[in-house]
Amino acid sequence: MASLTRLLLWLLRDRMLLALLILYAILWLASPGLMRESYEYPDYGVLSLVAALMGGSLFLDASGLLAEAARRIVVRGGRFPFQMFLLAVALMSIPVLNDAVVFVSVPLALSLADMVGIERGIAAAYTVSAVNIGSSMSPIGNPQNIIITHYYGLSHAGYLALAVKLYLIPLLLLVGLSPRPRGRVAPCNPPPVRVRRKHAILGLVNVAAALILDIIGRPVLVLPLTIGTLLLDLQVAAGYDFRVLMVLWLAYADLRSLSLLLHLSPLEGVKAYLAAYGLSQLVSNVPATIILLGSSWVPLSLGVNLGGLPLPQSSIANLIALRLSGLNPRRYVRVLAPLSLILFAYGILVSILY
Amino acid sequence: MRAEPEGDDLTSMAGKAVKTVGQALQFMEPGPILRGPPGGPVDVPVFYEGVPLDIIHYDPYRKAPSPKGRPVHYPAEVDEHEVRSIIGRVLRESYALMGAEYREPEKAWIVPVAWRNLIILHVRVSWDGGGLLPDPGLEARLRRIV
Repeated sequence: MASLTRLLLWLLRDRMLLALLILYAILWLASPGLMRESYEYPDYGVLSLVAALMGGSLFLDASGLLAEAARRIVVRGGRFPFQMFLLAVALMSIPVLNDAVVFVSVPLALSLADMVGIERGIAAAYTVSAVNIGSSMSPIGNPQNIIITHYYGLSHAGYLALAVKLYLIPLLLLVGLSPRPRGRVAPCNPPPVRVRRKHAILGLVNVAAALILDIIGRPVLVLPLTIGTLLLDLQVAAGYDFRVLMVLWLAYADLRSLSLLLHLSPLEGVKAYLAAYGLSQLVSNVPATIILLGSSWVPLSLGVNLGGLPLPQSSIANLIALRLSGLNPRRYVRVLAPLSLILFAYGILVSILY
Repeated sequence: MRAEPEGDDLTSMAGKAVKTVGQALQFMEPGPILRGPPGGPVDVPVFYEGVPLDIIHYDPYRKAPSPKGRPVHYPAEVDEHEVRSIIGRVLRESYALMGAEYREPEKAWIVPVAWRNLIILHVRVSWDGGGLLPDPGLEARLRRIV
């Protein structure tokens, strides 16, 4: 009984999950006919892919592989170790889910900040932004891109080719605006993190299988592999946050029902971009994506991905980074304000051109 | 199959493990506070290069670390910023003790780290003494809390 209560309290501590549960109940009261079909609204392919990538990322984090890869790049970073680090983090966010990269990269950024004489809060804020922008380039880098590629039937290669063009300039702007070390950086080579091979292999196999099965259109088939992998190491599996999947299921069920109930019409061009950007600030970028599905996908992608930067609540990755670094939310907003404004304008320009 | 450490190898590998931890200490960082049920102990995870290594028990009454095996239950909220800054300072003043224990199931050396006369941290090092090992259990705990 006590453990059941603890589980319930843990579930309800996720504010987004709680809000979506309340909205689900309200929608049932308002329109029972519509909600009877709500189980059909979630895209189970998306849910399976997210579930598998979460499992794979969990093992990659536990292996120490990501941390060691980032450390090696920093050591070879020469005069600009922080800039090299940001590029490395963005690159890592292409095959690995963004939240998992934040778990590794933000603590690493704090150590690096001390080494090169950069303010720790600035290092944390720029690092999570590098993760957000890096993951925007990938069809599997974050949940909003997985949702978009599935809904619009985009191929992985097609999305990647266009997204690299769209988000390369934001990434270069981020790196260009990031702080330089004060004075000369003393060469240092801290001891390595030894990679746990078993965990690294399990993580890589899961991510690769998820990717292949998604490309051939059978993402649900990856679930037995993910469940089997998690059962192989219960210590690692204990970190699997299935609340994310509940939030995603409820977000589909609630927000698609709400869109139907309010007869929301699809948006084009700048309107789609501004709506996606604005909604991301209000309800975070994954729910914003689900609400606006059906609108033009390029402005939608720009809006939810660039809209994931400016405020802590714009993206779950930002909230994780703030918690890990102890950074004050106001400081976070102030540090990123110039970059966010430039990228907001860049998004408008690209939405007009498309 | 890698060779298991034995004989003189054991002494030199243990020495290398101690040296590795000594070098890594200056790069260790406190992470977000982990608290159990209300009134539970205050634990601070320690990160190295982005991976969690172990927890330090924090004593809110003394505003100092508590030795391993002595978690301190505390009924009130604590100031996270203050705790992290104290543990950050403690880590800079800590040192690796000149000895290591070998744990066969994990194939790892465990090097104790002390602050003043208290052992506050156990760091896992690979069997050859060359690299630090993450703690998957702590990683999982952190993910549930964060």
